[in-house]
Amino acid sequence: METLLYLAKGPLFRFCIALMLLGSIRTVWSALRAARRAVTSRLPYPTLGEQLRETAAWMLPFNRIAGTRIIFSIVSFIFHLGLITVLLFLQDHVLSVRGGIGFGWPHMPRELADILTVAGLAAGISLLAFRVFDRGLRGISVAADYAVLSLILLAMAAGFAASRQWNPLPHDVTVLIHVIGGNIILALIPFTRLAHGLLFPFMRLATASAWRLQGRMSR
Amino acid sequence: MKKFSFTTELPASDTTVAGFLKAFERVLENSNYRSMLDLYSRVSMNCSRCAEECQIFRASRDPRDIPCYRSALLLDIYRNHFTAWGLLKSRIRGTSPLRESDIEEMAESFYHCTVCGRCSIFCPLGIDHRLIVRLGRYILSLAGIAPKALTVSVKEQTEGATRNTSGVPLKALRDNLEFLEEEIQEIKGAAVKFPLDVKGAEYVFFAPVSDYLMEADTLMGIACVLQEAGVSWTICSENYDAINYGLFYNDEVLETITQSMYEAFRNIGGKKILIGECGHASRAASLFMSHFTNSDIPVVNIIELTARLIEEGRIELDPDAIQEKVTYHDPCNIARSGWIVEQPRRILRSFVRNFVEMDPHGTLNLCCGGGGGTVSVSEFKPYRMDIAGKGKADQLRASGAELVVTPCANCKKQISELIAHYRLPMRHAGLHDLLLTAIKLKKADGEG
Repeated sequence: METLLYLAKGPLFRFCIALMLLGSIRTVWSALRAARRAVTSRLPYPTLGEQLRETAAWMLPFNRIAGTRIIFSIVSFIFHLGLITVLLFLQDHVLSVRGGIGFGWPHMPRELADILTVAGLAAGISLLAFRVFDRGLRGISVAADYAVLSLILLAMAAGFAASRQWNPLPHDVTVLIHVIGGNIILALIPFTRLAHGLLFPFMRLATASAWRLQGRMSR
Repeated sequence: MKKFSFTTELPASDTTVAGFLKAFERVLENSNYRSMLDLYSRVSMNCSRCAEECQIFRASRDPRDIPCYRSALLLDIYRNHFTAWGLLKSRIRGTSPLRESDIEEMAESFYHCTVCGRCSIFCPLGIDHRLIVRLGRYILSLAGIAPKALTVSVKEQTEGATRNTSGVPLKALRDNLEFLEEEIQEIKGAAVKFPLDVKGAEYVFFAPVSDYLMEADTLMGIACVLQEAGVSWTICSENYDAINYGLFYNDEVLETITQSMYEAFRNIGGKKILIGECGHASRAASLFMSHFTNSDIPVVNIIELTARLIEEGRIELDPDAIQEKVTYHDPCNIARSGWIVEQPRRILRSFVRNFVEMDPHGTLNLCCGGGGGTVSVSEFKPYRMDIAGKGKADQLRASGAELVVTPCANCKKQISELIAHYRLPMRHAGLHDLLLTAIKLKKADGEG
């Protein structure tokens, strides 16, 4: 078990990080090319500033939650908040990064991380329930939608359970599930729908770029 | 291959999977769509946040009408056929994942969307489903699948003798303009001209040509407003049709028609392009004129101009002319971006005593249900009435209005059919139809 944990936390982690970074470079490069076209376009499309403001508004979507599907929107926001903040600012995560690359950043208090994890888990399970029980959402969901969300929830739950005394599984097993799950998620980011976390800021620019139509004679 | 619910110019049996993929490849090679497809196909989460905002899904409750499902039809093809990972999967499977039934589903789905763009406002990721539908229609059209009602009109406009979508010859236009002048004389007691081919006019006016056949009051209202305010304007005999169906289904058509309008404008030596009451024509010209012609020609919609003329006090309106309870329907093509939302309301509030809003309205308005060219395709009428237009019909009824005003030829047709279909207790009119009634002409008052 110790060897497995060493491999998961060491070489596998570094491999997955490298895969994520290399894949992301290609993905972000493609997005930047689109963004450049959008910025140089003559089209009276929303300006770069307007697009960035709209993107920022959706990152803290308190003024975008109104309308239909309010509960879905709030649940989705809580899920993303819990996932991202705990991923980036949990003490163990920050220490792992510091151990790997030599520098880190401030971490959040353990109690806050626990609250955010539980809230994120509850919200994630609710999102899964929406997919299963909402007829419209179920009708458009594909296997990858369930798989990606389930994988994230598994990694989150294992990470949370690993530090609890009531954990029914051996500590090392839950840590291994958490670390391998996290590694897989990292590696999948550039190649699956998880890329939305990375590419979100470029979406509206890519749209503006595509509206720069070529027609026939302008080619 | 089965037939589609709409008539295509080419027999549907001529379309194949290979033809579709070839068209898709050609578009990717010659356009800026690839980056967008790359991103959209990676990030689309199928969250269905857009579902309840789409009036078509709300009416049908069919998951296939959810905007992200519709977009996924095309994004999946891109992912499977034009990305390295997709191609690898196809090799392993040994078969093409695209079937003829998929193309059929796309064709039906993309023409069931009215391309109103409302869903895109509510997409947290910023996916423009309207753009995907446009692209899907574009590729389908290159593969020979497009409603004949659209392609025949476009052929007449780009290659025909009359060079307009309704096939109105120049002589008929001249007769029509004379008739309209006589009508104004009769109605308003004043001589109002429809200037034709005036070189160097400030505004060169392009109306949807169908207005000359069906919307006489709109055109007469426009002529009265422009003459009364002393605006220098002209209609151009070289091109008198603003309609640009390319916006709905084909980038190349969009460019050809845009450039044709520009040529006519340049030949007559005008200073600005003025588009009549037509949502899609206004959007096509304002968005793409500079882009496709490498020029900086100002494109103005008649509502913008009229609102300004009223604010400058250049026309006088009778506040007692319209007694009905009036509401306003925002055409998606001019309202969704926030371009023309307040101007028509300022115009209406300046002389209509009893004005009520529908909920929602403005940038979040509901589509009339005939957008995206569907109103021109007669085969879609049952669908437009029972599904696409149901939300608008409910909204119109709830407004309690006796008169719905909308400044768009397509919206007018759809709303008039909704009024008849749902037996709504109201009538419809264009914005300048009301201005024709309310405007006080100097000569009519004996002042001129």
